Amino acid sequence: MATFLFWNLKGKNLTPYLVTLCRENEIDVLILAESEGIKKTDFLEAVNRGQPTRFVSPHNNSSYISFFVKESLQIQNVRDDNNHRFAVREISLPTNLKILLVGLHLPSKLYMSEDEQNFKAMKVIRRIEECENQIGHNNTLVIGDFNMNPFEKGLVGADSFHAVMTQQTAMEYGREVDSQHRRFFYNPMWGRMGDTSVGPPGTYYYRGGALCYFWNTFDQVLLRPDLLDYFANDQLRVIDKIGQETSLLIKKEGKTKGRIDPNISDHLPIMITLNKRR
Amino acid sequence: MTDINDLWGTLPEMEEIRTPYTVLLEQASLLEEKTNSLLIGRVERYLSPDDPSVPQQQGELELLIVAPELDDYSYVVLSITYPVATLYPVTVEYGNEDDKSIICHSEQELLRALKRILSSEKTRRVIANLLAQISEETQASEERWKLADEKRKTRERMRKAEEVRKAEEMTA
Repeated sequence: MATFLFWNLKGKNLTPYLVTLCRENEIDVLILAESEGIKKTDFLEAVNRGQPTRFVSPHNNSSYISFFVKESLQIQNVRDDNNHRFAVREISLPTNLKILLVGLHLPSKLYMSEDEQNFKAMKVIRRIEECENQIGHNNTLVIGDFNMNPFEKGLVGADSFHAVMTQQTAMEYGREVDSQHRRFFYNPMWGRMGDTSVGPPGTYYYRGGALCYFWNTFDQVLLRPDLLDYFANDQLRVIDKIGQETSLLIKKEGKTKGRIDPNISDHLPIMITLNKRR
Repeated sequence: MTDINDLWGTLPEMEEIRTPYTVLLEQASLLEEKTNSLLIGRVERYLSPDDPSVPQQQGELELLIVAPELDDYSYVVLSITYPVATLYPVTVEYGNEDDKSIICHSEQELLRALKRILSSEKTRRVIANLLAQISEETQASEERWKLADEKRKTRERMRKAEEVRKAEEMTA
C-alpha cells in the first residue's frame, strides 16, 4: 500500500502545511509543482523530526516537479523532460509492485489556447508511452497540474491522454482509432467535480470571462487499467483541510465562501492510495 | 522521333546536406567520447501530431543524455521541431524557465544555438550530477562486491576448517 500526494504550491514556502499533510495522511510519496519556495533540507528536517520512517529527496533534474519519498520505497529516475514539463520515476512498493510515476505541470491557459494545450498533451503522451515501452510495464500513474479539466480535448482525445470516466471503459485497455491502437487511462477525477461530488467541487477556482466554470479540476490523477485492481474510488481525495484548524477554503462567518484561499495556494492538494490487489 | 523537351533544366549536384538529425547525432556521439561512455547521447525522432495551425508536416528531434549505469535514466536536453519538406527553419526548445524557443534559419544558426545550450551552466550541472551519481553507484557496487567476496572467503575458510575437523575426528 502506498499513498501519493500532489500539490501545486504556487511558489510559496508551505513547509508547515506539508509536514502536517504528510503526517496526518501517512503520505509515502510527495510530488510537488511550483515548489521553489520550500528549501529541501528544511522540509526534510521538519517532516522527519521524531518520525520512525524518514522521507528522502532523490536526485532530481526536473525544473518543474519535485519528489520526496519514504526511504522504505525504492525510487529510480527514468526520465526528466523539462521541455514537456514532466518527470518519470519508477517506484517499487514493498509488495513488489512497480509503479511508473509521472509527475507533470503542463502550461497554463494564460499562455496557451485549448488547441495548443491539446497539441502539447499529444506530445507528452507519446513520450510517456516511450517510457512505458522502455520500462516494460504499464503500471502507470500520472499525477499533476494539467491546467485542463477532465472533459477537455487534451485529456479525452484519443491522440492525447485518452482518459475515460469509468473503470469499465478503461478496462477495455484501449481502442482502434484511425487504424492505430490507443491505450486508455482511467480518470477518477470525473467523480470529483461539482458540489454533489465528495469533497470540494474542484481543485482550482477562477472567476472571470464570459465562459467561466468557476471551479476547475486541473489537478488530476490518471491510472492505466493495470493499476485498477489496486485502487478503490474512496481512496482518492481532494483535500480542503489541513490539521484541525487550517481550511484551504475561504470562510466567512463560519461558512465556506466557495473558493480557495489564495493566501495558502491557489490549488488544492490531491491524494490517492494504492492498496493491495483486490 | 520528336525530341523530348527537357523541362527539368540542370539538376543540382548531389550535395552533402547535413540535416538537423545529423547535427544532433554528431553531438550525441561526442558526449559518449568525452565521458568514456559513462554518458551516452541519444537522438529520438518523432513525427509531430497534425497541428492545424502549422501548414507543413513537422518532425521532432530530441537530444537526450542517457546514463547506462543509472538504469538508462534519460534527461532531455533539447527538442527541435522542423518542417519535414524543407528542414529549415527549425525551432529549438530547451526547457528554460521563460519557455522561450530559438528559431534557426540555417545550419550555422542551429550550431550557434546548440553551442549555447550544450555548454550552458544548466547542462553542465546536469552532466556533473549524473557523473557524481554514477561514481556513487560504482563505489557502492564495488563495496557490495567486496562484501560478497569477504563472505565467500569466510564461508570457504569455515568449510575448510570443518573438513580438517572431520578428518581429525576420523583419524582419532
